[in-house]
Amino acid sequence: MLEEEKEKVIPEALIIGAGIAGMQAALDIADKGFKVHLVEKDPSIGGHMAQLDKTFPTLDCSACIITPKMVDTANHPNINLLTYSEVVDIEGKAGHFKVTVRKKPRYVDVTKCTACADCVAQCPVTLPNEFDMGLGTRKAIYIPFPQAVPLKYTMDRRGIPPCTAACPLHCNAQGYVALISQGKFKEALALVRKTLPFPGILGYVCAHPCEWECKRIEVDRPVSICALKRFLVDHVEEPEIHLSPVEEKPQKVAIVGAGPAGLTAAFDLRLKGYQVTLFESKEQLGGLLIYGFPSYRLPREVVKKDLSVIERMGIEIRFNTQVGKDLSFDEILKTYDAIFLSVGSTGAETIIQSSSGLKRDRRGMIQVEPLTLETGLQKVFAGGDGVTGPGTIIEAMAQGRKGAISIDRYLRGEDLRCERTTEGRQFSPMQNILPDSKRIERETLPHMVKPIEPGLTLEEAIEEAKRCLSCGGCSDCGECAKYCQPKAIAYDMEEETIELHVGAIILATGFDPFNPTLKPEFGYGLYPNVLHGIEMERLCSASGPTKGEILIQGKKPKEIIFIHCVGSRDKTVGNEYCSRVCCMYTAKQAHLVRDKIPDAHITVLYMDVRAFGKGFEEFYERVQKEQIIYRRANPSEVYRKNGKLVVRAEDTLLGEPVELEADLVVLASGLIPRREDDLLKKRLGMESSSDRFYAEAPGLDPILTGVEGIFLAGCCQGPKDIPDTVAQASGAAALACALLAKGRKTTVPSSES
Amino acid sequence: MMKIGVYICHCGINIAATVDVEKVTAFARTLPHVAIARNYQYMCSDPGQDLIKNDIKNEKLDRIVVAACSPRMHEVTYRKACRSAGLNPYFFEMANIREQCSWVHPDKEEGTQKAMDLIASAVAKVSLHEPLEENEVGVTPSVLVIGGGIAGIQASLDIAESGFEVFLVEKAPSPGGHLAQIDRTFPDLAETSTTLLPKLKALQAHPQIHLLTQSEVEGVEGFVGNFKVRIRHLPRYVNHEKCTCCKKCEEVCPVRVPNELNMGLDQRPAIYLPFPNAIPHSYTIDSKNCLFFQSGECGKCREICPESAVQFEEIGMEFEAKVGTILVATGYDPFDPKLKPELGYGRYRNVITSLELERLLSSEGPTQGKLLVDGKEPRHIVFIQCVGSRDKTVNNEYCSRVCCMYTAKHAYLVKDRIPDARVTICYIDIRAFGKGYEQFYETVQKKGVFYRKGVPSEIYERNGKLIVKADDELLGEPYEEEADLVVLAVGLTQRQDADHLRSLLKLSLSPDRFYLEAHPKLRPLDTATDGIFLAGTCQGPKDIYDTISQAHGAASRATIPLFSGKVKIEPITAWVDELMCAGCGLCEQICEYRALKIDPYRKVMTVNEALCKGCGACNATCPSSAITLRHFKTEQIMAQLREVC
Repeated sequence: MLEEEKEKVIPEALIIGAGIAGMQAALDIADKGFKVHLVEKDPSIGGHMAQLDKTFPTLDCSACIITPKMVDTANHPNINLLTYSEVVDIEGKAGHFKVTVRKKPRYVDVTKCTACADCVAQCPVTLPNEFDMGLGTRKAIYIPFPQAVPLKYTMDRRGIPPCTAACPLHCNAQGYVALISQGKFKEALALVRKTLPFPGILGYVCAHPCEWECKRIEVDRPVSICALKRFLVDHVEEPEIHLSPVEEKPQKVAIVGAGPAGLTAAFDLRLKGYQVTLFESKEQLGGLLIYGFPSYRLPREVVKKDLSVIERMGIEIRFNTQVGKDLSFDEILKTYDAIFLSVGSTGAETIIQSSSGLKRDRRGMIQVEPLTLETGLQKVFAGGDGVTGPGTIIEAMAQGRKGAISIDRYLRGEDLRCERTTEGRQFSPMQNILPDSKRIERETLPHMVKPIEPGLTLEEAIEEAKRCLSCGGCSDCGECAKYCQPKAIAYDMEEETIELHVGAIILATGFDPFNPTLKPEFGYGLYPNVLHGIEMERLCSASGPTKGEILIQGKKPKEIIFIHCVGSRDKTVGNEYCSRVCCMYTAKQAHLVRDKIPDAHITVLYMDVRAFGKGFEEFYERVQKEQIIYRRANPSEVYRKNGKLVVRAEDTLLGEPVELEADLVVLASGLIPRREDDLLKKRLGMESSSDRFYAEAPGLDPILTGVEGIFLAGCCQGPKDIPDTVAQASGAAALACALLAKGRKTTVPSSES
Repeated sequence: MMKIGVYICHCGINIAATVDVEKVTAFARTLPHVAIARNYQYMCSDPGQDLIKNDIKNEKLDRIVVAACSPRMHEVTYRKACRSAGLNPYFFEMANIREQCSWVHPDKEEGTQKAMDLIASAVAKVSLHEPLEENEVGVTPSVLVIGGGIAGIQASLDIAESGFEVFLVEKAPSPGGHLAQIDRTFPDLAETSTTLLPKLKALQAHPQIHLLTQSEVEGVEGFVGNFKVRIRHLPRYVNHEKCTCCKKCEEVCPVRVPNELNMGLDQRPAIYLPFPNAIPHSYTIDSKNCLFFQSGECGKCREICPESAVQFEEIGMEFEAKVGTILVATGYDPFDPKLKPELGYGRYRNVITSLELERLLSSEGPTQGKLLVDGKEPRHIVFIQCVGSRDKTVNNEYCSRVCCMYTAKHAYLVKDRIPDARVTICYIDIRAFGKGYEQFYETVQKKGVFYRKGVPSEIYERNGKLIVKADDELLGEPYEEEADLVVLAVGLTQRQDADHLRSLLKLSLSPDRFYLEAHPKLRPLDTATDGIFLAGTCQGPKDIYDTISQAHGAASRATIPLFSGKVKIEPITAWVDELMCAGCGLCEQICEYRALKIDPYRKVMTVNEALCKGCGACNATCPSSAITLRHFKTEQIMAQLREVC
């Protein structure tokens, strides 16, 4: 029985989280000759420690001591590093767990990427840099920080942005706006042309549903996407466009009516290689574009230029031919393999009467199957205003495209109905994921341009385009792919699910910093000069957004106040526990400020100073000798008066209220459990302790859990500093290896049994 | 004829933007012995490494220079590439033209010139390189654990569970350490015996653990993987296999000496059981106090023992153990409050230390758990924190990390037993930092324990009552408080006998006199000497949770060489020219790694290559230039310098 059990122990370990705890545990286990799978959700390993500037109390450079460990971890032959991956499921029990890991797509082939950064130079999308806590920026294709391991780029693709989703033709609005912001007008227009056959017309008179959904409205007002498109059409000098199908097809298609819907259908079908004939009752192309818009709103030359493409594509056009009057419906039904009726709302009645079989809906329009635009008559499809009733140009064009897709499928003999739901106007899945816009100053921006006014100037266009919040992250503009020499960009990469079999699991998922907006009285998020601990860390760091200079809105602060225990020892936010590191990291940051701004007034407001580790008390003493004032105080509020921050507090030693002015307030935010841990806890059947961190098994051992074979390391068990984390990580490795060793030994004494 | 290959990396634009790589490549071709010079986008990439490998094979290159980033980044990478192509990896040199050139020079022309200088210098050095071999030595699959407190016990169990032999050396007659004295733990108030007992049992039962009580380490030789340890075992004078703990000997023993277990609050005979759950479960004779050994006159215990377990003739023995690694878990001594005479400890009977209170509160203690002062329950109890901690006057600047919480626990237990007692805690800061500690601190306050900021300046007696004189820092005024009992929360200090082990193992001390770890952040369990590890309070004060966590961790560290079965020997080591060596011994003092030893007969320095780390300190120190560091020989470095000067 025991022997049987032994055999099952798989001598491999899984570690979830590759911060300092996960890396230490992985190295310890791997050094003992066991295979380790190290899963990290971020693109790089390193965790929070990589973000820190210096470590207390020795003031070692954090990056300098952690990066060799990161490189060791990545290079270890026994460590299987799975970055940008998440554990989604765990089954089984000690000795033989089955683990399912989801590898998120990086959209960059890591085997090809050389981290040359050529893509970064081309990427038009600038986003807040998470590694710098949003104090700095990065591009949509990025490495989190220069020493990242693996040193491979990741594309931050969050999904289809609201503007693009709202466009019935899914024009990549975020993409071309981003390119305009970089002055890449030609590339922007080319991107527009990928989806829109007639950008000029739409630049002038589109009803721009994209702008209705633009998330910028939550900051001030939407980006003038349509005006930007018009700017492109007005300013970019393009050579005459000649398009021809890749492959000619013999089937003949008749398009009845050369308005926006018919023109789009004709354009699409001709590009697919069909022999297209366009029947138009009037003497020119355009339909309502000509007859519905005055020329001062939609200049005729714009229409002409856009539509001249049609003539050059080899589409046969029959002007002054009204089907049903000048030519019988049956006639074309006989001659053509497929027919698209785009007769407009006024032409619907005529065509219905002239045909035998077209049905009228209750509004008097042509009745169709909305998903496919089938009319009920074999090979006849209909779309545009003649089906929907009067609508917008972009919607009519979308109908044209839909009809073209249906006809193409019909002529190829394919299923008309499958995978059609993504066509037309959609709602972006990211409705609620508004990028963190709290730091965007509400300055005056170029006036909104109405269609009848002159278009945007070059400067205005760039300014306007820069207002885009880049909701979708990567704008799919394709510029990086153009410049990537090793051809590492892989837009079509898909997520992968892999299965691992391990004997032991170590949880080292770390912590989240407490979000100080939950203490609104301190003004975090309201005042740009109220920062939290990790933000301050990045501000001090030489690799941070200010290259290590402490600058608040470009100026060195002279009066700095640190507030302890923000989100710790505080029942009002449900965190009764002490976060164990804030006293010391504040002491360190105060020291760094003193170092960088020698004449600053630095005050630390504390409850108890918990300097309990090796060398901590000595460091606390040293910091006090550097003229850093420690005041035992209860801060109640931070507010702004005459442009300065004022911290209101009660000095508990003096027993009186005080008001202290500050240029910078640093909130020593505590450590809280990771949000993602809840899911894991559920999957693993693990318990939380009252502080919501992972609960250890009853007893005096902080590593053992209630589940055999699963061990805890680092801050996911409770806040702790780096040495305590490293010790615990090694400890978890010891326990895991004692279990794994049982699996290995069985192979040796086979003669015994 | 020597054939050197030079490879210049663009590092994308990192180098190529500031250094004209084509020009540098052309220049490299002109250098002496250079047969091939190439440049490539990313030398560290697989195709880049393949360039080198193919050239070694096809062009018969025998020396390689890569001009790229810092050797700290990729030296190992290229050495591996050389080795896989059949070239000794030490026939390789790296020129750092990124961190030390392109990244720091804005001017392309100057950057290019400097890159050329650095490459010329690397070529000059590599042409003088000699092949070096990386050796490995085997590892004895056992660990010596010094100290049988909770840290040593836990580490021993972990190591044994991993399948390795453990020699657990404990000075006292039983393992258990301070934990055996502690009744309950904070913050859950659980009985410590529920943790300690199963561990002691497991310790005794484990076939891989050699429990050596009443033993001390006398000598240590060797290096990681191959330590030879001399252990001295003191006689117990009682055969633990025969002893049934019938207590008869204890009753007849005429001697009474202060009982260490109870901090001297009561007395024990010279033949005694260290504590009820001691292992081995056997009496022991304290020969320093036993009349038989002092005057040869007694022997009553031997007469009465029904099992004839008492054996006065037992002699101590010394033996040698071979171990792969050593784990130090020697623990702490409580601070001696007599060093703070103003607090009156030793002068007033009712000023006690926290460990004494611990025993008084224990049901197995001298009063069976009754808290009595002069036969009466105390009504006013004052606890004083930070006695011997955070106190420069006694040279202990550090915080002892556990006193805040154990005092909270004591206050709670006292209040629990004497609900109407007035319990005051005088503190500086309350350091309730661990899991559940803050919550416990709150519970204690709600129990009616009174926390007062400010520690007393003096304790004296007035009219037979203790007076605690202090400053209330929150009120900003001095006060005097009467007390029936004053409890001093004494801190943790390094053991008094720590020096013995320090010199045996060449450990360093941190300023707080605890043993120094190899790195305060990333190597808290290692020492500067390979193969020697630290666990528990010998490295610095810590609570039981952190001690156990660290013990697991140290066990992990200590078993890494055992699992892998071999340790690598650094090939870049010092070498002594015995003809030149004057035997002055200066280098021996400077060596951090105990690698140098003077040969007592020939009076020349010898290098233990297994210990040498190749740091070069001895090399620089030697007044007669008798020491050479391999791979950094004087002529190699001079050749390198000539090209850049």
